Amino acid sequence: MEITLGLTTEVHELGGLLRGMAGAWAAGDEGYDEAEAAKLRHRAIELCHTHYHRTIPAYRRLCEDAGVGDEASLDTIVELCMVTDSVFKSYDSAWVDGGNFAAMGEWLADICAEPVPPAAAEAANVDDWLARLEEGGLHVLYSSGTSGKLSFVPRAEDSWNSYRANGPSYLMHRVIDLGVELPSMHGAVLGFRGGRMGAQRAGVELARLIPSVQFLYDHEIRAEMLRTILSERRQDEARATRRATEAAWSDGRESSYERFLAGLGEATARDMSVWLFGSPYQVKQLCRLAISTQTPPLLPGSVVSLGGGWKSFEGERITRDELAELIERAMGITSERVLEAYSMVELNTPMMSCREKRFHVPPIVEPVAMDEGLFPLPRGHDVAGEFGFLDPTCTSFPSFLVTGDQVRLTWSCPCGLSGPAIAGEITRAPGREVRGCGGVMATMRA
Amino acid sequence: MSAVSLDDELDRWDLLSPSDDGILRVPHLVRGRLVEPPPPSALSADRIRAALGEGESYAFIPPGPWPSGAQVLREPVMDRSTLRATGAHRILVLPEVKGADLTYPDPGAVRAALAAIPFDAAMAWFDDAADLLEPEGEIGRRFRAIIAETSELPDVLLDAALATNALMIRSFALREIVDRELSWGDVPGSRLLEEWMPIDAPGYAGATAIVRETLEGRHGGTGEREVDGPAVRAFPTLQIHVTAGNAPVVGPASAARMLATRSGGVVKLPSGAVLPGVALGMALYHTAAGHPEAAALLDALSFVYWKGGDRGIEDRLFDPAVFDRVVVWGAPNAVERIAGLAAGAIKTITFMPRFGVSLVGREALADAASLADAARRAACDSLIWNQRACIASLVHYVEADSDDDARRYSEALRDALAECDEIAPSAPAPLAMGQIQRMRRGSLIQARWFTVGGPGRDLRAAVVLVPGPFDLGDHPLSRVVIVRRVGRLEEAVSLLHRGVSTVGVCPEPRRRALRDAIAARGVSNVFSLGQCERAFAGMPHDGMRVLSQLVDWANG
Repeated sequence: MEITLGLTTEVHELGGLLRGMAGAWAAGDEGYDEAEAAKLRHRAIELCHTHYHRTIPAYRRLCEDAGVGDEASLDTIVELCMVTDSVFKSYDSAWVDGGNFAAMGEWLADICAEPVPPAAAEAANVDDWLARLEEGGLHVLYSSGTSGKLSFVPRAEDSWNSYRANGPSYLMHRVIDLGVELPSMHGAVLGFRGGRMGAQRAGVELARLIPSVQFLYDHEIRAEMLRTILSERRQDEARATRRATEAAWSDGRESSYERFLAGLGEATARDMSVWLFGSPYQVKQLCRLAISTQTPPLLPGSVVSLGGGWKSFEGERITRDELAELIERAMGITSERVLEAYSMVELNTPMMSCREKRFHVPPIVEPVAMDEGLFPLPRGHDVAGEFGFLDPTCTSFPSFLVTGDQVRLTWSCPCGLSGPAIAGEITRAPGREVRGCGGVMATMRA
Repeated sequence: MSAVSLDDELDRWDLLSPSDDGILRVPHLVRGRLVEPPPPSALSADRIRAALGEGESYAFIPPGPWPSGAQVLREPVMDRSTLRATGAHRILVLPEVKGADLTYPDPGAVRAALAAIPFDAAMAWFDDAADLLEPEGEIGRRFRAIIAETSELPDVLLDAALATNALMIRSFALREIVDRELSWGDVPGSRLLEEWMPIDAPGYAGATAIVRETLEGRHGGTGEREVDGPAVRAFPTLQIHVTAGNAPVVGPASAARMLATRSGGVVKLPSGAVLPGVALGMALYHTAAGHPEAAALLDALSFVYWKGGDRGIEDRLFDPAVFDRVVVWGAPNAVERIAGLAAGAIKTITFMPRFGVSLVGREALADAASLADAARRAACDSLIWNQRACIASLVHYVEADSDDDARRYSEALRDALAECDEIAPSAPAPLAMGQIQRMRRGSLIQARWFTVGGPGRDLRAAVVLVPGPFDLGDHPLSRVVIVRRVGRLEEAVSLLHRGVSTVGVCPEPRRRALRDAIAARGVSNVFSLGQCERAFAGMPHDGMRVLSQLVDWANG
């Protein structure tokens, strides 16, 4: 591996500057200079490209096959060098099924810039592998996606720190605007107490800021359990495990929500306002239960924050307005105190919705919209396309990513925040249906 | 009706005449009648455009003021020089389809009338229709222009397809197919379609013969009567063909099988390739008057489009009291849906999605000339109907000792595909391009990519040398060839299954050596590399002799 310490240092220094500018942007500081932020961001992106090219074999191959060297302009990077989220699940499932974590380590080393701890090759299962990687300094989060194959997203210390710092660097202004004091609030997380699943991280991070926190499931989520449930290849085992697990969850889900609701009631009785965090589907379910049980509303200072989207509960989707109305009816929380974040495990910098229900892209991140051929649409204009981002605060993997989410990017918002924002509902990008005979054999391998 | 009057007539009716606003009115053939969509006076361009929502490709417009409604299909217009979408769209306006209009009040009478049609009379009619369909024929010329407007096929393949559609209904071709596929011993199939043929075969009177003989003995009978010996006949049936749009020959080829057996029925034309089937229907319609003996067949034919899954049509249509056979081409979900409609009561013949592969033995890598030759032949097998055909090769297994050898093959294949692009240019459609880019930038980032036209917007074809297994569900079917190195071709054979329709092998001695093992895995065709589109009259298709399944074999 080529040593690019100087580069990474410079990248992360620029990241620090960008976080500072994001704070100024969110606060509406008059000193905030959008052009200067763009200049810093673009410089950081170009440095990241050089760093990725020199240290990430898969990225280098992508560039070489496209005739792109280790120095490239932003336009070239966006046109030819952006990766998709599939990179993080481009391993062979058979390696995991067969416990071949040496092969998994080689794969991880191919898609990331960091050394892979050798001890991880001896892992007994996925959770053990993740634990060994972490012991060796590589934080790997995973997400389930909709394909049933886990994505593994690695971050070494610098990138991990950025992942944890980018959001708070500017979101604290939103918290201040809400007039809340986090240490005196009661946290309520509709998720697991811990684990390395990306969607659970926001709750875990919230728990760092609020001393009193309750979880829907008071245990960690394990990757091996999730993988078995999602696996389509280990058919018999999966079916049996899925039945058992779903039965357990299904039996426990109702009572978990009831316990959770009771916990909210206790916080209210203790005169504590609540910071509730959950996915839209979970919050919807909690609200329905609260209405049916005539649970009293939360205290006025409470906040509801939503994250994670609807995912596999797409069929349950209601509009944002409908959900806000439901939350107000069930919890007594008005829409101004309902925050929604747009993020993903591969993105270091979450985006928070404004009162106009637009997700604003902080100046740390360069957003792009791609056409159906996966080429960039003109930047700086209102366009609809597949959302992509370049987040130059990550040096562990190629953080120039096309997400698979269909969005509308706008460049002005009545809320007053400058810069780009995602407006309207976020849906999955048009499917991969390709007309023809062979394109439908999704389960066949060759 | 003469060929000269056909153009005039179509123009007068404003049918199949592209308008300035990109709207094309297309008729259906419904049980022998030409059914028009509502005329422009009843259905304005504004109303048509308003019916299609943003990004939608289909809409139904209810009746009024015209007595029946219309279907509209939006298709992207292609730049013929680059084979890329221009961004403009054309809208086809088609008549409303009602399930009841496609069935028969007395199906038995229809079958009897079909069986009475002299085979030669039907063949003579089809020859006349083929004259109209030929590239220089009146219908062939008119349709060539309008099909080309939205076709993703390069001219050389499009012209071959349209010529094939005419050729397939030529009497010499149909007779050869019928005579071979329906033959009984030395008796050609065409005679079995036309008359009861005595069978000279050892017989068995049955277990009750002893009862019959005993009864006759008790009552003074001799047990001997003047009875004919056994005879068989191939009877026409009433069929529904649900066709696929992956190649413009699929609809007409499926229809040709119906015509060959003088059977009646419905051909459901596929979205994206409606017009070739409409052309065949119009050619048959406009030549039928000269062949009154075959009138019953025209009256039994429908060539129509409806949106798959329209229960209002399909629940009425798939009536086992009327139809005898269902033929389904296409995606598993379509096959499953149609099989559900047939509900086990109508015999269903399915052509599931399959794909082809190529096996390249190490002999081909011995020197530069043989390497280039193998790559050229393998490229041709991957180009069959622009890689959309079920027999087109998607994956090339190369027997190589090193990654360098596999890389040399990949480069030679890239060069061969580049040459093919000069002869038959093509470019991925936008969605396919998106899929290719997703693979290049995601799921196959571990692979090496060898592109024709570069990896970006100008990409025209690609060879992808993958390090391990590949999920075929990701394949964009647009001149993208997956190359996998194997130590021995036998390793590749072990990966084959019934989803593989065709395997092209080189060199020939290796093909002969592996043929049994490959066929034993459920593969239907084991051909010499570069010859995978080869066909012959009476050739089995997906393991079946299809015509034999489309007739009712009767003993009499």
